[in-house]
Amino acid sequence: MTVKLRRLFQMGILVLFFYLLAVTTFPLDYPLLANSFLRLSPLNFLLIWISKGKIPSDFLLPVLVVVSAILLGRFFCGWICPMGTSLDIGEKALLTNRNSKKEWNLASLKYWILAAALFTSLFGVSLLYLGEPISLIMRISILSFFPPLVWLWQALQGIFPSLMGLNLVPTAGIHFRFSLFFLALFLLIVVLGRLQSRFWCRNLCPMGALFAILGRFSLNRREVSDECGECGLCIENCKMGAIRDEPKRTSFQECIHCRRCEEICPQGAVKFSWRRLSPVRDPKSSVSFPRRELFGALAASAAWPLFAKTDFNAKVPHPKLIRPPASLPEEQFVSLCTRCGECMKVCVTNGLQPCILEGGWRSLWTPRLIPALGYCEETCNFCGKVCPTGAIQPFTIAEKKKIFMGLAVIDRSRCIAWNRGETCLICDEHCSYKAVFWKKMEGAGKPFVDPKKCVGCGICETRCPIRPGAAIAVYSQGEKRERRG
Amino acid sequence: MSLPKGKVLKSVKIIQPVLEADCFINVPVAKVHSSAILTMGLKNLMGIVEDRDYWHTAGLHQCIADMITGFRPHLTVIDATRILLTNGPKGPGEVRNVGQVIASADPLAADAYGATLFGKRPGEIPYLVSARAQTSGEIELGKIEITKV
Repeated sequence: MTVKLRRLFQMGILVLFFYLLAVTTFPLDYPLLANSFLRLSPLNFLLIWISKGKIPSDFLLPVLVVVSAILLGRFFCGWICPMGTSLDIGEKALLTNRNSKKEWNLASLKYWILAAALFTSLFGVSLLYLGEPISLIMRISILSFFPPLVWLWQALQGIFPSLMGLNLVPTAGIHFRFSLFFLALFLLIVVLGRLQSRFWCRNLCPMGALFAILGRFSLNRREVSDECGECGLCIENCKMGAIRDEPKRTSFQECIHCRRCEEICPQGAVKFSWRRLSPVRDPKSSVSFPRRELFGALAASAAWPLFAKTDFNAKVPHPKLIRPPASLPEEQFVSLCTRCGECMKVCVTNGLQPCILEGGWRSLWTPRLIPALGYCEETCNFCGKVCPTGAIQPFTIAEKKKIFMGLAVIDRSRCIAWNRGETCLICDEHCSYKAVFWKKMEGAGKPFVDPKKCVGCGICETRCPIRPGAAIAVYSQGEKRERRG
Repeated sequence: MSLPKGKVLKSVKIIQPVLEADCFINVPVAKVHSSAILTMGLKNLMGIVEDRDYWHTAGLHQCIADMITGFRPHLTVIDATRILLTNGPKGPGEVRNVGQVIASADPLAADAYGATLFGKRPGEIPYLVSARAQTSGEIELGKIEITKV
């Protein structure tokens, strides 16, 4: 009964997750955004707190989640987390053989990862994004699941024109870098379930680690009465491996309250009940507290910023590394960005793409404007609206003509107006900021760029008829980035 | 569709609904254009073709002229109620209230008259001159019958 309820709840949350993700697109007029899920992550909350040095104003959701962990342990992992639900579904769909009794105890890895995530944030070059599960499933969904869905949806709209009004997806086809990579990563995480089901949640997830620490003291926990016949069915069926050696021994930091053991127990001996607040600790239930990992992770995390800052590309960034408008200065930006992909999802021109190493290792998967694919639309400020951490700061459309992302430069040896005297001037035609102007020389108009007006939106590069490789292109040389407000 | 009388633009891809239509009425808004000088009926036809970039790279004025040799709207209605005088085609720029709407079954004649609203002679617009040489239609103002209503 409770298991059915839990599955229903999980599906409901997952549907909500994907629905919010789908409507994170033009015209973006829904009161709830997909970033609500990112904002309820206590890890993202901590990241903002650590990076900005002050408590973020929207603390209600993460505090509620933390309270849920104190009351119910890893309830979030079992009932809410879209990553966990995706793994449950993925494992069920792809794996025939789950829960093989591999006795590897890697569960303490996640404490390392949590500590490393927080310490690297403290040292200013956060690696939190590698493990934060909401950002992870969001990034996988946006970069891998959405593009093919959009194409399919458009094909459907072609067959059934009555679907035209239902635009839960962008109206143009979308392309993303890394889409196959993240699909492969997702499949890998699912397939790891063959070794241990929910391998990610057990061993790697830093949010799981946070809840595990809080869950040790949870008030609602699994209890086994004396009717237990020691058949071991619960041990076999626990997808978190939270029941060790004997049925009565529960590792509360792993239990995600899925209630499966309660349902399958032939004796009805398993109950989840509220603990009496007594100071007596059950010695059997405790597993060593992860102190050693903390110090190990501290040392490793201290090394990371040194490598990140001495990386070649951190010194010599790619000249066409254009950040979204109103992005924080680079160091703060790469640290605060959780790589959730929301800005890329919402970008109306599909121009925002994940970086590879254009800004060094520390910039991996951060957003970058690639005008060859799409420019920064003059009348759009969606990326600033959806960014969950403020790495892209909110801005108004009126402010856009003062937000300098880069500068357009004309390659006169490739421009057909300059080198062949053709009548072109498409760049001038499209420029929204009157930054491209032209002078009549030798019969035809030749384009010029006014650096005082050019904000680097890249529409000229997108529209330039010289392809591939436009004759006018935006470089980061004119970029001005500052912390606002 | 193929354009046998075209000099540079020999064939052009046009959006399906236009090809399927019984009648095509072209309704441009008159404005200045940085590369084509003026946007009116002939220039507006770029809005129904797939590969506009080719027009720019192959020679914009010639392609505009080539298009009209093979594709003629049944009626051209130029909206010149307000015309954009500077910083076209995108604007914003200086706008003059002219309060005229120009209609003609001859797309060249409509554009030729439209040019006068900008203080230009039709002969100053290269695509009009080329189009006149390649196909039927009139651009000499003296030979166009103009009726004001």
